Parts: sequence; C-alpha cells; structure tokens
Amino acid sequence: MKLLKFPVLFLILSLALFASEAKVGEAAPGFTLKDSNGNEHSLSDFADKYVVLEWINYDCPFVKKHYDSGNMQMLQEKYTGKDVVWLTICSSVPGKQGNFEPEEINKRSSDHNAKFTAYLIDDTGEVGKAYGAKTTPHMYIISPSGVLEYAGGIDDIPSADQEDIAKATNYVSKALDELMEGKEVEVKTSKPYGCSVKY
Amino acid sequence: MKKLTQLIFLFIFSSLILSAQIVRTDYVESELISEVGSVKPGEPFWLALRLKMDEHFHTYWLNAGDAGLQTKIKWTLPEGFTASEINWPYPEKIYLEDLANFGYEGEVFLLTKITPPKIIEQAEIEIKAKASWLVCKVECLPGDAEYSLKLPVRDSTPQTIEKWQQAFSDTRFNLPLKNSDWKIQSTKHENGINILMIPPQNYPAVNEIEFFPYDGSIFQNAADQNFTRTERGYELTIPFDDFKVEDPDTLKGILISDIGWRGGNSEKALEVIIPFTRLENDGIAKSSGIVLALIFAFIGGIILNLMPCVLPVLSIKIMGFVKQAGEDKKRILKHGLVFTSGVLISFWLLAGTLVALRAGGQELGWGFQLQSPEFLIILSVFLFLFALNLFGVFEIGTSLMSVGAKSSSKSGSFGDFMTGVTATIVATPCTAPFMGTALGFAMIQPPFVTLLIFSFLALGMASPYLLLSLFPAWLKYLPKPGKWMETLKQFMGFPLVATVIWLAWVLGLQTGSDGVISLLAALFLASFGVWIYGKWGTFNNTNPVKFIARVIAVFMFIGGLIFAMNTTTNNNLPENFNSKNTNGIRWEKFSQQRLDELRSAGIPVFIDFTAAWCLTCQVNERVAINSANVIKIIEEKNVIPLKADWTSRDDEITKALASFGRNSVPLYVIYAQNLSEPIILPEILTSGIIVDALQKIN
Repeated sequence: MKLLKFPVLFLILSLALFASEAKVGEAAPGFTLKDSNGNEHSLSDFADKYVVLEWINYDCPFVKKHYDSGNMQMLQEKYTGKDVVWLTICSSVPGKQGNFEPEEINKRSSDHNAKFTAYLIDDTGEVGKAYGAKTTPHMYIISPSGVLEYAGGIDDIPSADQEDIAKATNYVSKALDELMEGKEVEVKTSKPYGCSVKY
Repeated sequence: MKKLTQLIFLFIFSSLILSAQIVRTDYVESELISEVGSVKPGEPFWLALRLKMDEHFHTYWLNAGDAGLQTKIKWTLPEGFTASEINWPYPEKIYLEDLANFGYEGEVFLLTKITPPKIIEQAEIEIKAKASWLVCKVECLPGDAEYSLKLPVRDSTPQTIEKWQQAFSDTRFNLPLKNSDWKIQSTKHENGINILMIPPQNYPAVNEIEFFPYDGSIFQNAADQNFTRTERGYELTIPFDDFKVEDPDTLKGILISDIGWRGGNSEKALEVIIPFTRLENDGIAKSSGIVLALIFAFIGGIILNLMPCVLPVLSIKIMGFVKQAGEDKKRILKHGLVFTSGVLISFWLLAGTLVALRAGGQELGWGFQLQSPEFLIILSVFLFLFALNLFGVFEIGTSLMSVGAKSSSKSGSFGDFMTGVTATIVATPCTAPFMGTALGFAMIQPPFVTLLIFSFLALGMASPYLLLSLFPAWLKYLPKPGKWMETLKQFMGFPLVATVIWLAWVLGLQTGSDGVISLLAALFLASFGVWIYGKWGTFNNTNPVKFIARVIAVFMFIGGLIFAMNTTTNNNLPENFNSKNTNGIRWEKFSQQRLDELRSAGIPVFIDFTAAWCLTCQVNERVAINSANVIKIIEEKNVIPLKADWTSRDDEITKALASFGRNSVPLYVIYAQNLSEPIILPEILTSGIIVDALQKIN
C-alpha cells in the first residue's frame, strides 16, 4: 500500500506543477487522481461530459448537513442519471480531519449510500489548491468543452442546519439545469460555506 | 453599612436573577448577560452574548472569512420590544494554512441593543434568545444554546451590574468607530483594490493596518495586504478573490490599526463604507512627477541653509568664505567644489543607508526618527547643548561646530570636505517637517531615483557656496568679519532653542506632559553638566580638577538621557493619567453641591463623567478634552470644569448619571445660564465637538 502511494504522490505533484489557478469562464485545470478503489481518473477522461467537483470531508458538520439529510446523494443520483460525472474530492492531508484509508472511505460512502462517480484522494491538497477549494463542501461545474462554469457554495443559506436545505436555492442543480437547457448560468460564483479544507 | 447591604443585594441580584444560566456546550461556555439590573420603559439597554471558547478554539465574526459561519442570535422578546443587529467587536484574523478566517478566540461579548416600548404593564419581563455558532480549532462543530433572562421593570434609571461593567466598557471600546479625522479613499483595479489612509497632522507612527471586509467572498482573505508607508500616507493593496462573487462598487469593512484611529492607544477599529474613487492618474506622478520632485529637492536644498540646525554652520562657513576672500580664485573654486562633494557624498551615504534599510523590509519615511520619543529626547538634548555652546557656556575642542569652524579656517581640502559633511549631518533632523513630501516621494521610488533626489537636495544645499566660489567677487558684498560675528554666533543659539521647543511639542503629542517633563529634566542635567565642564573641565584647570569635572559632566549628560528615555515610552499613558495629570485643564472634583452652587451663581460648567477602566473616556480626555483649543475656550468662557470620577462607583455620581438617564460613562454635560437645557455631548468626542458646544455659551 505504502509502495503504491509513492508513485501516485509523485504523479500528482508533477501534475500540480503544471496546474493553473482555476477561473470561471476559462479552461478548468486538468488533474489525475486515484479514487478510493485505486483506479486513476483524469479530468480529460471526461471530455464531452458535464463534470461536477465536490470537495468533501465526512467529519465536517456542513458535509454532514448535506449527507445526513440525503440532499447530496439526491443531487448525485439525479445528475449522474443525466450522464453527469460527479467527482467527490477529498483534499485533507494525512493526519488531518477527513483523511481516511480507502477502506474507511468506502465504508462511509456506502453507509451514506453515496451516488458519486468516484471519490478521489487528493491527500497532498494540490488539486484543491489549483481549484482554490476553500471549504467542504465547495462545488465546481465543468462543461463538456472543459470550461469552468460554476464555482462556489452548494446553496444560498450558509448554515449547518439541515432544516435550511428545503428553504435554500441550490446553486449546483440550478446551474446544471440551465447549462443543459442551453442557457447562460445565472449565478456563476457564490460564496462557498463550510469547514475549511484541511490542507 | 448601607453600601455593604447594597453590594450584597447587587451580588445576589446579578448572579441569581439577572444572569441567565451559564450554558456549557462542546468547547464553549456561553450565557446571556444584561448590562443593567432593571428595565425602564422606553429606555434602550444592552445585552451581551458571552462566549468563552476553550483554548485554541474560535467562533466567528459577521464575516467568517474563507470558511466558518457567523454567530447568530434569534430573539424571543416581550411584545413591543425590539432588538438591534449584533454589534460586533473587531475580530482577529485566524490563519489555517492558506486560508484565513475572522473570529474570536478566548472570550467575546456580542452586544445587542434592546429597545423596550414606552409602556410596559408587567412588573417583570422575560427575554429569550437562541444563539447558534460554529466553533472550530481545525475541526469544527456547530453549537447552539437557549437562554432566558428576567428583568424587573422599574421607572427609575436602571443601574449597571458591576460584575460586567468592565466587559461592556471594553467591548464598546473594541467596536469599530464610525468616523475619524483620517482621510481614507480607495481605488479599484482589475485585480484588486488599493486603500489610501492619510493621518491627521502629527499623528503617531502606525506600524500595521489591516482591512477586514464585511463580505468574505470578494477579496483573498489570507493574502498579505502589503501595508506600506508612502509619501501620501499609508496604503494597503488587497487582491480580489479569483471567484469573487460580485464586482463591488463600495468598500465595506473595518480597518484595524495597531495604535488606533484617534491617536496612540485609542480605538483600534474603524468602519469604512466608501465608494471606490476612479483610478487616479498615477502616470503623471511617475514622469513629470520626478522632474518636479527634483526641482523641489533642489529648492529645498537651498532652503536647508536657512534651517535653524544649519544656520550656525552657515555662519561658520560664511566666516570661512570671508577669510578666503583674499585668496587665489582657483583655490576658492576648489574649496567650493570640495565642499559640494562633501555634501553630496554625505547625502549619498544617507540615501544608501535608507535604501538598504528599506530593502531590509523596513518602510521608513525621512521623518521616522521624529516618531520615536527616544530619538526626540536625544536630538533635543544635543540641539540644546549646541545652543549653550553658541551662547558660550562651554567650548569643546572636538565638537561638530569646531570641526566645521576649524576645518574651514584651515582651508585645506579635507577641511572643506568635512565642513560639507558636518553641514549635512547637522541639517538632517531639520529636514523632516519641510522636506517630507519630496523625500517621501524619494522613498517609494526605485533606488536610482532616490539617489537622484538626494543628489539634487545636496546640490541645492551646496549651491550658494558653489556660486560664491565661482564668483568670488560677490564675496565683497559679504560683511567684514569683526565683533559682530560673536554676537551673531550667540544669536544663532536662539533658533536652536526654538527648535528644541518644537521638538518638545512633538514629544508632548506622543507622550503627554510627562514625557515633556522628563525631557526638561534631561536638558537641565545636561546643561548643568556642560556648565561644570565649561567652568572646570577645560585645559586652563589642573588635571585632577579637569578629570573630575569631565566625569561629572559625562555622568550628568548620560544620566539625564537615560532617565528621560526610561520614563518616556511611546503612546503609553501613565496609569494615573485619569484625574491628576490632565495638563492645562484645572479640574475640580465633582459634587452635586458644587454643581448646584455654580449653577445658581450662573457660572457655566463642563462635567466629565469618567472612570479609569473606561478606555473610551481616556482617549476622549487625551485627544479631545486636553487639546489646546478646548483648554483655551474653557478659559475664555470662564467655564468651571468638573470631573466626576466613577472609577470606584460613587453614589453621588451614580445619582448624577441617573439624572441624565444614564448608567455608564463616558458622559459629557455642559451647563450655562443661557441654555435652557444642558448640552449632552456624544460619547466619542473630538475637540471640534466640544468647542462648537462651548461656543453656545454666552
């Protein structure tokens, strides 16, 4: 396991050297990360598809808000059903909150009945920093042509209270719906809220 | 006895009835507290949510920053009552790796103003609140708690709870000021903003200012704000966040200064809500600005010859020229050129030092020395001794003066060079107030431009001498040497004494009267020392006498300096500043009886309700009440100033406060016969506010 980690780390690091800061309306920075099952995924693998990036930390109360309520899984199921690739990324570095071994990740993901395409491990934080991910959750939408279309919070009520979900406007589903209808995304950025990413 | 029962009563009152239960949740101890012991219908009062976080944990400000969540309070109030938004004391910036949050560690009091209706039927009201927060170290946990607070309803002015008096007072001191005497403007660029902050004149040096935005998603919260001191004032440059949510047209947030916005040790936070001004045409300052600065530098250099610190040297040099008048033309020109190079090289050395210091990360203005009380004291003592020397109290064989005098009389090249060096060294302290602009400009320019400006300053300073050495014929217009030179020399001592007075005034602004007294004591010791030296330390005395005299002189000189510097610290007010040491205003102790006497006699009265623990009161006294124009108008209008010191709660003062419907300090009241109602001044004073109010007295 340890032996395996090293080349992956190296790969991520070398990729990170070429990564640029993400900007809405511009090409999203490319990356290659291993998922919790040991499979590699590159952003370029999903050209021609909408890609959602979701920053996660299972122990963060704001992540819990959206997973315990089933809100996040509902979104994942709805949009992966519409051929959207949903990549959940954890940038918690080793020793910090939210950094788990793959077995633990898979256990928690199945306990939550998560419906993401893959749970990617960014335990150097390089991809998170390239995207300027600040909080968990912090959401990004990338168009089939590789352009970053949305960056920001999951919705417009910053709180850790599940009761607020029903009252909130979900920016991710709103933007995805607008994109799929061929419209311009109305809210392209919003203030992400949540715990800080544990770099 | 009455006091004791009152105290016991208050204690029971405050701990059992007025304070809701302390709630212990994960990492936070919290409670809802009231500043007052009862509610008076129609009279607003303050409540505080007290949050005490465990070590290393923090909760958040109204803008949490990159992550986190602001603390919220949901009120359940009796009918007719209203609650304000939270009044947030300024937070600290908490860094987590590359992210930054705004929040509070330790203990914080979030203030809310409650306004009761004009009529309350119940004898007791109950206020309920639910607070929710996010508490984080690295990991975060949301927390919430509910509180209930019962307060009796009374018609009398409510009394404050002593236990929390200091906490409320301190928290108010930490609320952002709404305005100040600073000029602040902000320009917006493509990648961020620039904030320019211009202090009022003679403001103490500020070492750090930071901007905390009200909106967390516009700026890079963790970015270095690049605080710099420029020729215009202080500046911050703040980059936009890559994902900024909106393009702002107004700067909204608070500025935190390490020393405060109303002088040293004053309120540290200032609210700024200002529209961005159009991008200024910086290009002009860059091209024609340099030419202009060079011209000013040259003119400034000429003017330097007239400065009090340079005048004595000037006289020596003139004497030198007078002596040289009979010499060979070529030699005179050579004298002039060597003198000029001496000035030039000294200025280059100065410029080089400043450039090196700046490169070392210290942003220095030319006048930076004048902001250090220690420097002011040393400079004053030296200038004073210089004056005494000119007056003829003592002579020193190796003083700067004589180096200049001797070298110019020697008429050797080295002598001319040293005269130039001396003139520059002696001129240095005097340039700050007059040359600030050009030099400030020089300091923010690339090193090359800085050197150029210093060169022009040097050339300007040397130009009269160079001119005279080119046209020595003009020297004949100079007066012939004679006894008048001794008279002139003595006279030159007076501008120096005047400079010392000016320096003492600057020191006074920074340290109050105590610093000035320390300085005067140092001057006394030093002058006594040199008098002894002049009397017994010179060579016409025997060796032992000479030795003893010199030891005593050095001891007194150094002792005076050390004493003055130890007793003077920048921006630090003495503990007992409150009542005794307020210079200028002859306070009388407040008593109701005295007030009644004065009022019936028709004498105008200014009452200062204050307390040692009230920081706002201290700042008001320092920056507003004790200012020269207030002291002047108090004397002019024959106002009797009364000081009501509430440091240890005095019953009489409590009653007097209550008569104004107040239960806390500061409170400023003006009585006069021609005023039907007493004037009550705002809690945050400026000298202008007091003067305007006192003008209304006939």
